[in-house]
Amino acid sequence: MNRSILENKFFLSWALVHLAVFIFFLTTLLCGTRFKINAGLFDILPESSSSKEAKDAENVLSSKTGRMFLILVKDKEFSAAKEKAVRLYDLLNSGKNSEYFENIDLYVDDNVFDEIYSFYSRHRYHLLSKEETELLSTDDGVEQFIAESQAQLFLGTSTSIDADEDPFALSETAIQGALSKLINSGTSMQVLDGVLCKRFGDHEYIMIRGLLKPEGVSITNKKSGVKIIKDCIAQLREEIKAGESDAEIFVSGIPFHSYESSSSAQKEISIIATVSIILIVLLCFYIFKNAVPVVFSVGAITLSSLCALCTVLTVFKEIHILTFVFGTTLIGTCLDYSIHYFVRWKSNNSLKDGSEIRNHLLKGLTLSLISTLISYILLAFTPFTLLKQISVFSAAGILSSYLTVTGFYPLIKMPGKRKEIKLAGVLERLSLKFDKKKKQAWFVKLIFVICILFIQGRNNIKIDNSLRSMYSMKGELLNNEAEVSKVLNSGTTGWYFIVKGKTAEEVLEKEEKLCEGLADENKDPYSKCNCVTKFIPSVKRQKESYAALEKILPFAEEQYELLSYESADAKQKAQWLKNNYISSKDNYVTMDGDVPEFIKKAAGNFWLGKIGDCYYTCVMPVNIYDTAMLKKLADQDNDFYFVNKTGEIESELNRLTKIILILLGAAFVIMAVILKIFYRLKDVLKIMSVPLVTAASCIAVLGVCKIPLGFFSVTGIVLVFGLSIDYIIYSIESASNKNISEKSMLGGDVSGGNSLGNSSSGNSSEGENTLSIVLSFTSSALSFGLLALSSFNPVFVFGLTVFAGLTAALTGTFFTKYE
Amino acid sequence: MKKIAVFITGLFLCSALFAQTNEFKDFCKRNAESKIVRGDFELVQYNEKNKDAKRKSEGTFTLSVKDGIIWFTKKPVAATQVMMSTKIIQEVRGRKKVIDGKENPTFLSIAKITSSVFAGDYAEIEKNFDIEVFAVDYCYESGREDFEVELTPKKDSAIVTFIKKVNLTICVYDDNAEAKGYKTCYISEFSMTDSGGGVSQYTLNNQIETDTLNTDEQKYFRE
Repeated sequence: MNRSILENKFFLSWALVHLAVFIFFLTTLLCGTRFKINAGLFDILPESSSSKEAKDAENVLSSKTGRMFLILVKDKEFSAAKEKAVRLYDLLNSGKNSEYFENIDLYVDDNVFDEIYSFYSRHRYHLLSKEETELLSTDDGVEQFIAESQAQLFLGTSTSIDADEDPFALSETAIQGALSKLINSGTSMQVLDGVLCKRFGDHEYIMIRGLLKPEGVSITNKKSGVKIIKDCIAQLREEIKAGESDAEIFVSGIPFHSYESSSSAQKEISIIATVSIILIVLLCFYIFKNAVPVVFSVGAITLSSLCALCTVLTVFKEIHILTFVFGTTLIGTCLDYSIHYFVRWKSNNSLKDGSEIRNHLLKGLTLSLISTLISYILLAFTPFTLLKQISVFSAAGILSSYLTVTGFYPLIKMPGKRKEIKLAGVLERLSLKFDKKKKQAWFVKLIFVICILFIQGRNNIKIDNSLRSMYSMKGELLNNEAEVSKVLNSGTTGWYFIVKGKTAEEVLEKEEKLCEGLADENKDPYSKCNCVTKFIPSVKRQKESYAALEKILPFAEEQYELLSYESADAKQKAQWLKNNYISSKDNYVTMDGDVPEFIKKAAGNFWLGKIGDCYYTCVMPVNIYDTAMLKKLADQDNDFYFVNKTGEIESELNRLTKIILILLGAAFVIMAVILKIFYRLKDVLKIMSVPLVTAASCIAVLGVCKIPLGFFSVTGIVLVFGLSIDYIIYSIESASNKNISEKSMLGGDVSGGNSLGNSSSGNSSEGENTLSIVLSFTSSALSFGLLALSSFNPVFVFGLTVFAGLTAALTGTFFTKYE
Repeated sequence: MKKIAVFITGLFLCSALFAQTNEFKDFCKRNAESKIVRGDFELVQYNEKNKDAKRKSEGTFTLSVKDGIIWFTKKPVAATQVMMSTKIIQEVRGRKKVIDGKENPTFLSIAKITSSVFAGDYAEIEKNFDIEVFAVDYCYESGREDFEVELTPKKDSAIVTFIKKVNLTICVYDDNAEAKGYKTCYISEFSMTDSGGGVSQYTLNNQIETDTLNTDEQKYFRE
């Protein structure tokens, strides 16, 4: 027995392929590779079309913004709001909670303003604004500058000027320049009693800001920072409720959306997979009335899923949670093969053992495998990781299933009593009611219905991947974001520039050039944008500031006299000032220098640092909505990259959708060529008409449902394309087997059994095949039909497309007549 | 922001008039009725850490309930500073610098609190300051009564970060003053101490009430 198994090439193929997959996986694992399950919503999106350098910088920025969050605590009185904010802050920092956060900020040092004034005082020679520096370029400008500095000393706002050290009030001038820029950009919160707050409407809002640790973003393990935040907020809400307060808490930030969508996707996957497996198992029990098909079918699905998972992890080192969602379709497809086998195993008396069943099904199964693999493998050529993962996952799973059915199933002991499955007889009789003409008439009717649907939904048949439709905020999170947006009114659009430079200095100089461009375009000297140089200018600009101020030194003595110094003292002080100026020459401000923490953090939000061989910063326009102007600015320098992430991702998805459609066309042609090797041209045309009708019905149904053709719907069409070919091939193979058995009977060859038996075999073969296809459809429809119930739009669209396509494929197959 | 806060507060507080706490509401009401006030000012600035280094200046001012206040500094240098609820304008030798705070909540809330004093909004003043009347003097011959008031920002007030305290000297004259065309009650001195110890001490003299702005004043306020 053992020897015969080892000589069985089908079994050996099954064993070797599975062994190889698991050995590769284990080897990779033992080599120290850390596999991960990616649950981030935004990771399913394709990369934008920016250059490689900009992409790397974008990734650094995304990795930061994707972890940033903020919480607003709202109450009627400031003290009450602060008390709750402090409580929440303490909860977030209690025990091991703080391990999930890189930082959480509630408190702002009350001395922050003194620190800032001290900073501007220390660096007063280097921090003049560009406008003031330019003013000093002419003699008249110098006179003006002196006059203004004198006015500065004697106006009511100059109490903190140390005129003894700074007789030209340079620190005040520098601060005013910086303030003008900061005020213009609209920092929406204010420092009050050591916290950031804002009064909006009749309520006070206190802000808590934070950054999750990279591992804290994950939802697939216990280290979810978002879950910690939600738990802490829930606890505080309980306390608020107990205290009968009206305080409210609002959250905002990408991590919350990622968590919400991913966790709901996870829940849905669990529910869909569980319900579909339970229903399919019950269906199998009902049809087969035997535990063997059910146990082995579930075993085959499990093995296929494991094989698929291991292959994806070995190839990609990670798997996205959505690959699992689309992978649930594998359950239906894998089950198809098992159904075809076990229907014969259970009821076809003419097939004596497993090997005969395999031989009976082999051509159909192999062609089905080829068609499905072609559909999936073509997806692997798209430049999109998620599709590649789905492609590898499904291809590996289906190959595993095929090998199990052809290599392992024939080893299963045949049942003692084999009798016709009643439903097969019913379906056979139903099929016989439709003769060739009736079937042709119904096929035409099907096409007519599709045409009607096409006409009805024609206006919606277009390629459009709107990110907004992919994920829409709802419920509590929507209310939270709406409230936060109202309160903060940040004016950011999601568009930004990435600026590149070979050195840290060069990138700052380029950033200043871009900001000047923005200022010129907006006719606003305080260009409405947030960036690093708003806080820390380039050394070049600092040198210009320092050099320009040399022109005012000859007026120092006069300035001191104005400050009531005696002539001799004034002369002495003027000399001191000159020495102080000279000794401060190299006292430049740099990111890693003696910059106050407040300024360092503010500038740090836009400083991306060294990536590869270059340095990068980010410039975010505020309240500017003219994208054409922003693009024009970016075109002025090769090191400016304008990033409109949403727009770029949408156009990238549109491009991908077109690529997939073209690949689908290629798959259609390849399959037709392959089928021509096995069938007559007339049969090939019949076979290929079914996937064509299937794809058309998917597009028509989507049009009627007002869903434009998008990436996820087209992926669904690719899947049904393969499945519909399966159905028609099984049917044509069944008809072919029937013809062979009828011919052999007419030719008087009764060696394989009595004539009645063969005749019966031929007819029942058609019934069995129809039953197999109906069962395949039902199992797939259960999987995909349930996906169409998903609240996650991409999954819903995918499920709807596949369900519509499968229905059309089944109908089309049933009404196609074979001879 | 600190400078602006100090300045806004100082300017608006000029018009605040508190004689004593229990009459505070009446004074606020009376003050709010004033439309435009003109007068002379002397300003002394120093830091509490170095009281010897004082900077002195003088000029005239115009206070408008509706628009804000203009300081026309004449000596030792000529300069004009205009303080409004949403912006500050500074002009020297015809060159103007504008700090526009209309989109900045800190600027706006400070302006709101200080203008509440200016507009005689008692509820808003009481909400943001602890008020203390700590000295009263009366001169029978001149008919002048002086009050000294200290305003300390409450800890949840938007200006607490910037202002340590505000001291006011308020004069109330008898009816003879009104007959001569002078204000019968006004702030004669106020000093403001910022959180860094900087002190701005204003003395306000020759205050006269009027109904209309002149062309120059209109030009600044309509900027």
